[in-house]
Amino acid sequence: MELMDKTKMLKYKTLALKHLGNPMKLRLFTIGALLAAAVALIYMPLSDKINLTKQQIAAEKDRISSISEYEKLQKQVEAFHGLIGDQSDTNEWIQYILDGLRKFQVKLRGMESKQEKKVGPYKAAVLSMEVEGPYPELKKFVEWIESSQRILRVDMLQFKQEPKSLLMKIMILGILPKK
Amino acid sequence: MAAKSKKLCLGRTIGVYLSNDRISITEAGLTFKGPGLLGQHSFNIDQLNPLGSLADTLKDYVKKVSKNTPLCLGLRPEQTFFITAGAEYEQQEDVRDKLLEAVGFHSAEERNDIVADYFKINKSKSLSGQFWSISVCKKKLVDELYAAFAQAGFKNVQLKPTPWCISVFSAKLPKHLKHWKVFIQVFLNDSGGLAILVIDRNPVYFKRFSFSPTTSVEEIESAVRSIMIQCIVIFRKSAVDGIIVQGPDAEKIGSRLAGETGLEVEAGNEVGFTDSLCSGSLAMSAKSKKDPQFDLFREVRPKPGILQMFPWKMAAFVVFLSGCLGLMLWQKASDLNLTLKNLKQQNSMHTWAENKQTADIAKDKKPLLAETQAIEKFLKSKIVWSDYLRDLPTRLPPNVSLSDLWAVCEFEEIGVKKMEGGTTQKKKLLSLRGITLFEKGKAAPEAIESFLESLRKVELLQRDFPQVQLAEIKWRREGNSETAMFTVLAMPKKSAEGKPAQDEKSANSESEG
Repeated sequence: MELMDKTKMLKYKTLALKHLGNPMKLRLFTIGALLAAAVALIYMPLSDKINLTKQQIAAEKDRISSISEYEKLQKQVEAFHGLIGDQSDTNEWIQYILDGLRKFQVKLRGMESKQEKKVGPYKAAVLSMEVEGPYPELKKFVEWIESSQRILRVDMLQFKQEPKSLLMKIMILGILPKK
Repeated sequence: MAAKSKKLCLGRTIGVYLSNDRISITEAGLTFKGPGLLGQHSFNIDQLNPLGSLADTLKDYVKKVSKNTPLCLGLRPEQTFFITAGAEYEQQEDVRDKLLEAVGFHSAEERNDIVADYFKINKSKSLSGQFWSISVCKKKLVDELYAAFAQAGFKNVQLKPTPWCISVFSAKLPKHLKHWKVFIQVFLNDSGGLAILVIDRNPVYFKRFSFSPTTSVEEIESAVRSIMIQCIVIFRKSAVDGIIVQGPDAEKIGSRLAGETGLEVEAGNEVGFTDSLCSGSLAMSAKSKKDPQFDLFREVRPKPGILQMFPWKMAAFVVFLSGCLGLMLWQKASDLNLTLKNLKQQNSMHTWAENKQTADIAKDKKPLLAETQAIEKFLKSKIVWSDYLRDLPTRLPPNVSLSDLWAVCEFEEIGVKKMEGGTTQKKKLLSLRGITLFEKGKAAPEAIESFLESLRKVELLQRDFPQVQLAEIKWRREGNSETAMFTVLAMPKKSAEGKPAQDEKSANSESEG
């Protein structure tokens, strides 16, 4: 077995020497061997390292972007929370509107709390009011609602001229704190 | 100056011509003036031991030049002759024996006693068939010469037939004779000369002769005629275009030769067959790229090992390139590492996120995003009615009064599943009802039209309710006066499904209710 191996080895050696004895083949072999060595010893390890680092950079950039976005959103939400109020029930909110109404020369003729509306993770209280008074005062009341420190919106507004007075129907939506 | 140019030259080569009693050495190279001869030296040799003398001279000379300088050795024409033979052989192992047999070396003993080199003549249109140039020298002499050079330390040495080198590298055909395809070159010196047959710039045959210029040109004529006969016998060429004569008294001898042979003769002013011409030609041929060329040392030179043949320069170049590539990649990897380090440092500044995975942060972000988006939509979709309440009364013409105003902009719930088979309809509308008097003699009140026109110019309406239209007019008599009650509807732009049309219907019913 060993003898066979030696014979084979000798045969291969002779064959290699025969081919490498040709200067052109020796040149091609040298270039090929050196390039293969360069690829295996220099290019591949460094290329792998570069690819790995690129992946890590992408992950870190993604993390930075997520963190900064999270922080920005958190700031926005904190700002909203200041405009929503502390208590999550409708009563406090109605009280806020009624307190506002008292500032103007108008008379409340009726008020009805309607079904809450869904605003994503929040809920919006819906209040329908009938208010009587002169046009300038009613206008001021609407202005107060729309420039209020709470997050409010007027969904419906109706002015109706009655024989002796001006009647305003208004539907106000206001964001309630999360429960 | 000459010494300086010698030092600054590139591609230095050496030609060594070994004649009877002297060694002539010529150096050639490329200086800033162009390629040319750098210097010539001549040394006497011991006629009893010429090879020993040659070795000693070269040993002294090798101290002045590099051992790797290409060196070409030439012997007297009688010692290394060359000849051309027509033979249809392809390159194979026994072509040497066949060629030598064709030129007269019939026995194996004779063939083993000599060293030969040969090549096929490829660039010749004038020759029909396949021709081989063969050069021959005694093996013993070649072995001794090779040993002498090896002893002197020269590594890059060739042995070439001198006449062939002279013809190829030193004799230039004058421009006006470029049309000559077959001609004879005659190189003269004081005691004899050399005649070479050239076909298509390939020296194919030569003849050495001796003569005395004071007597006659019979010897030259004889050599020329002998060459012309060989030209017919070997190459089947009966016509020779002319003769070029170089050397002392070239013109005089040329005119006499023209008279004797009847051929056109061109006499040149160049040097004749001298040792310096020989060594100069050999020096020029030492690094010539002209292929193929003779080298009689080829047979005796030991076959180089792999280490000798190994392309060190090329390998060094490839290693250098690989090194450069490696450096570039390493530089890039370092830059990226630095970027990564900076990013990690930036991330570490957010201490709350230190123990959190990026995916968890993204997960935590979702509810916050939902909150901000919901509030944003809630606020962005609202209409600020107080602006309308301030602006609309100023648009009323003097004889028109508003009796009713109805404004709706419903909020569409966020996060509520839509009803099956349709979308939840969002109401957005502004309805104005007014009263005006009929003017006598007029079919319809003009105030309504002017009110409509002024409404269409309101910027707020253009933004939120660009579609302003008169919905109805009702006539009413109160006492002696006639009044008109009219309704104006302002709606958002019509969508493809005609959404505002539904708002219009509901507007009429709501306002009447």
